[in-house]
Amino acid sequence: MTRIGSVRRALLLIGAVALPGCAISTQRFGRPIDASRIANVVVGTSTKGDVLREFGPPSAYSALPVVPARQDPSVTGADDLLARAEAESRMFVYEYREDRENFLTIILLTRFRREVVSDRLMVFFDERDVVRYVAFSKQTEEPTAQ
Amino acid sequence: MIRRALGFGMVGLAAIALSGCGLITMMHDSVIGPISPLGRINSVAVGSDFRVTDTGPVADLGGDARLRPTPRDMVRRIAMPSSYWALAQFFEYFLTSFSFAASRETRVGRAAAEDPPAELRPGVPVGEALARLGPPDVWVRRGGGSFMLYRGISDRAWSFYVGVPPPVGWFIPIPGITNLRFNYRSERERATKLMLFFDERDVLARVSSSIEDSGGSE
Repeated sequence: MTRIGSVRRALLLIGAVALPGCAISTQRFGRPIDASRIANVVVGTSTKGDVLREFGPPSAYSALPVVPARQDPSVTGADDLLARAEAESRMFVYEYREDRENFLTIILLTRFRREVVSDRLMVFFDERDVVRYVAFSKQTEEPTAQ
Repeated sequence: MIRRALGFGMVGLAAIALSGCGLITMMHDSVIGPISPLGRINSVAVGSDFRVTDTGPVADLGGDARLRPTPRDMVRRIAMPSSYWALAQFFEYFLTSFSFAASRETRVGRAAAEDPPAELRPGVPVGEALARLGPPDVWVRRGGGSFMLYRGISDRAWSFYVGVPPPVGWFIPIPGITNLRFNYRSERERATKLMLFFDERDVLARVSSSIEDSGGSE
């Protein structure tokens, strides 16, 4: 009887210990961006080739969306303007994304948290493939209080 | 020997019939899929990019074969904490009808600043704005200028659920006892936005920011 009681107690203890659980995962997409190399990209001087040498192939090569004017393009010459605007807004996009999830359960208390953060570097080029603007943001590290 | 082979065959057939591309799944999806509380089982069971949303688990069928019995990323999916969340919700609500508390929080991106930086005054060139704020989430150019949008989204939900578990209800001789339950749920969504408007010379013309809160409790 005593033996059965102690086995039951042991099972209860194991159950109580086993019921809580937690899971933490971080999925990483892309390659981390080396922020220290951004200083090597000089606006008005560096070319597309220089950026490729520094950071390798971009995650995406695209252009800013350009909304056409409402007037008839043949009258206003908007077609030329659009083509020029698109040519002037070509950019390389480098992105590194982290999808962080954590889950915790303690008997009847359940908690789940998900955070999607990304580091992004955008390099804009002019029509001569020279760097026009550089923009970088790092979200994968908490911003430090100033 | 023959009996054993038949047994294995039957088990195999049952496994196929009940799998993500099985007959029962396909019949469910085709007949009551659009209105079923379970949703489309096939895409959730075998699709990729599995995730749990407010409306339950979802996945993209995408280019995956419709007749694939298991998802391509089975191991990764099993290891994802969001799968455990769905599993815990299932056990706590459906089987035991009792959950002391459940809390869920999702954050996409960092929240845009409530007040735009003081340096961002009208007259600042676009290059300086980009250097200070980083890449925008949206940047659209128009004939007479352009605008940028920075945004952050977060949502929080908290719930409390107590009721009579169905297995317990079977032993209580009161009809409908398992329908007795109390459910409290509180949700909040917050979107922060910062919009910058530039003129045709790519010079900052106007800055606007807002924080939108929505949600409630029931």
